[in-house]
Amino acid sequence: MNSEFGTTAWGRDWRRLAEPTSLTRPDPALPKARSLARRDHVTDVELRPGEITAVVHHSGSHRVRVDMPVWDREHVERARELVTGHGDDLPDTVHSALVRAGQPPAPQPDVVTTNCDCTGRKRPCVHILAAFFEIARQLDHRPRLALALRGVEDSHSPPSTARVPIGLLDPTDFYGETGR
Amino acid sequence: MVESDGFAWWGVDDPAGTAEELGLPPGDETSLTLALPDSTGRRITPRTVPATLVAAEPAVVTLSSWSPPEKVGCSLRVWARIAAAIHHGEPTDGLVGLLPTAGHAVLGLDRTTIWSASAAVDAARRAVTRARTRDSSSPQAVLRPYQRAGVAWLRAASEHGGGVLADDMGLGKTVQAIALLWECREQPNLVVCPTSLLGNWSRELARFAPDVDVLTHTGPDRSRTLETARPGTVVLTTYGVLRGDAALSDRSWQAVVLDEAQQIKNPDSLGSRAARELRAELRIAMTGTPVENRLDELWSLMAFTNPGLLGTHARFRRRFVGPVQRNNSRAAAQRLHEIVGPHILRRRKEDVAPELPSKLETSVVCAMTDEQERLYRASLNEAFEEGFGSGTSRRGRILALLTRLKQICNHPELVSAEGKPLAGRSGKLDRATEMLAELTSNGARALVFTQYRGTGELLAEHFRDELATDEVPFLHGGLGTGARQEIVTRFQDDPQGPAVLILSLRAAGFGLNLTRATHVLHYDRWWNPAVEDQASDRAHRIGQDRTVTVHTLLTERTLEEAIAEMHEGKRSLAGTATGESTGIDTDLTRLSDEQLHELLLPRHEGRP
Repeated sequence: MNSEFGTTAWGRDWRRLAEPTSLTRPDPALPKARSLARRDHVTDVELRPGEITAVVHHSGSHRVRVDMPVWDREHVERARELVTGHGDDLPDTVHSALVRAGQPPAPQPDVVTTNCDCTGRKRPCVHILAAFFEIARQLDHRPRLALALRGVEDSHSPPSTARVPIGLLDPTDFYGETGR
Repeated sequence: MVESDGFAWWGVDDPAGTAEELGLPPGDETSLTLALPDSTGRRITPRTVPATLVAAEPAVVTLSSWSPPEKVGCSLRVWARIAAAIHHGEPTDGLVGLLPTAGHAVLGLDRTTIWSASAAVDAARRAVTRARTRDSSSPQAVLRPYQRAGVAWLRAASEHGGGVLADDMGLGKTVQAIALLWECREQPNLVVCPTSLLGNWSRELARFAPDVDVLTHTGPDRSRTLETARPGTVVLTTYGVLRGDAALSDRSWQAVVLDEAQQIKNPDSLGSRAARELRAELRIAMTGTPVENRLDELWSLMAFTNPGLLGTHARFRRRFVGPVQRNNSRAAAQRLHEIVGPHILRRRKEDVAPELPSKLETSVVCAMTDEQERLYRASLNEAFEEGFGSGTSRRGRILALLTRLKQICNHPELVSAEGKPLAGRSGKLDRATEMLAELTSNGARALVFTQYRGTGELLAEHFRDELATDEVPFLHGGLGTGARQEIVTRFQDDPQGPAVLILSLRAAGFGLNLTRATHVLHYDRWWNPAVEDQASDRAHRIGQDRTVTVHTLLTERTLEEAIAEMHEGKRSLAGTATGESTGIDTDLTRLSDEQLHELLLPRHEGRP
């Protein structure tokens, strides 16, 4: 399927949370959810180890929260080893290596818990689905975020290239230890 | 500052005064754009601040013996330690990691990246070494600072496979590549370029790296050239040969350079596949087209220079081409830039302008096609068999021959109208078309001068077909004043006006103001260089605040090359040193038949 969400193996995992293959009939809320993500109606996305928060703008603003377990130390170390030598971007081969090593980057659906402050009764609601699509998109762009979600926080080695794009510069400690 | 061989003091309101207080050279005041944390402290954005500039060598000398007072920042402290190490010839490896981002935050000339700490330290070391040793044998000696930074970047790119050198036309991509090749002495190197540029490459190599062996690997009996290639040899070949010659991928190279690399823009073409099969430690693609906006072309180039960086073509199309081109996604475009930015060096002429003189002049040497050479030799033979006679008729006949030969160099169709397609028949026409396609795709405007009405009309017709524009006006003496003025106004003042204007050299002599153009092409040679200069000054005159690049096209091994050598003073004509020379054409008519024949006969191939 030629979807704009989940264009890499890293994001595809999260699109699958919105569109599980077990669904016999497509969820009627899916087109709306995709459209919300596409039109940047999912904002303030914060990805931290084990949790994601976001705000979805659709009939008001709704806070969405997604929780998942982080890896233990051993798994974190193994993931670090597998990404050693790769630059900021990660190819799909690292994803499949993790799957082969028995620790797929994405959490299984049954250990993911979701919350939304909307009053609808249906779960997952359209806001949660929209958040899944937006997460898929962000992981497509930055595969390392998928690892950060599982607790591999400092996998980002400083760029080794002779020129560094402004977007990859880290503002913390910009002036060095002693400050300005 | 990696691209200008200097240090910048910044971070306070009065950098010069503060530097003086601290016992540092105050430097020249300016303003400088740096990558700095914004007011939230969460993002880095470009910001322009007051600064002063100091040349690298004196700055390093002062810093090396300077003891920083308590109040100065981490960046300056670490630089002082680095300067001491450089000054005393000690390693800096342990210090580079201590340098905070603020110590190398000057925005690069490409406006989108900064140079890394180790690139900045290397540049400082190079600048000091240069100031102290002055090695004139290296092509580096003639490079401008931004070009030296480019060469250092190309060399370091081998760690990631290679890179794309995408500087604007006129900024010297070729000379940067030659300086790089000069340093690659462990294995042979390969340069692939369009046929129209072979002559230019061998000439530029001979000029900037005379001690480098150059082999031209073309033609049917080329198979032996590769056997004689030694470490450091540069093998020159064409895309045509690359497509069909397995011998090129059977061996390994130190550096492979693809010039006009948009030739491999289609990832599935034979040429692209053959390029990806080449084995090399360092793979460089050179192009002047805005490659980051043409995503499939970008993938194809980077699959050659940095295999694997962008993943498979299918994944790349899903991940970036769709979102960027179909959905206009800024996030995807920005992320793509983060991934490819470090591997593409693209500097625009206007951003480098402070480093450049107001006028840059380059010769573009083009090969003759077989059709041109056949006609050229036939015309020579015919004229010499008939003889030139003596007196006034001799002068007239010689001038007629010279005109015919120049027309053949311009295009065979001008002397024997066959009505066949124009492309592929004249080295100069093909090269001029490639150059104008690149310039116009970058939004630049260009003037093309010729001395012949017929050539101007042929060029206008061809460019209209080949360039993505339906308007290529030709300003010549046959037009009325009103029509001429309208052409000039459209070109000079109308934002939607034509990007290319052709002018007859004679009609363009007086009073025209065409400063909208930043590039001037002389399609043919005038006998008198002063007339060419006068024409170039249509673009380069008062009111022009940008650098004008003047490209003079010439056909190698023909009278055009001889004229060029006379203009440059490299060649003088025997028997014409009478002191009353009025022009090269007059001089030529005074030569004996033998002298004239020797001058006009195509010289052997491969001789620079």
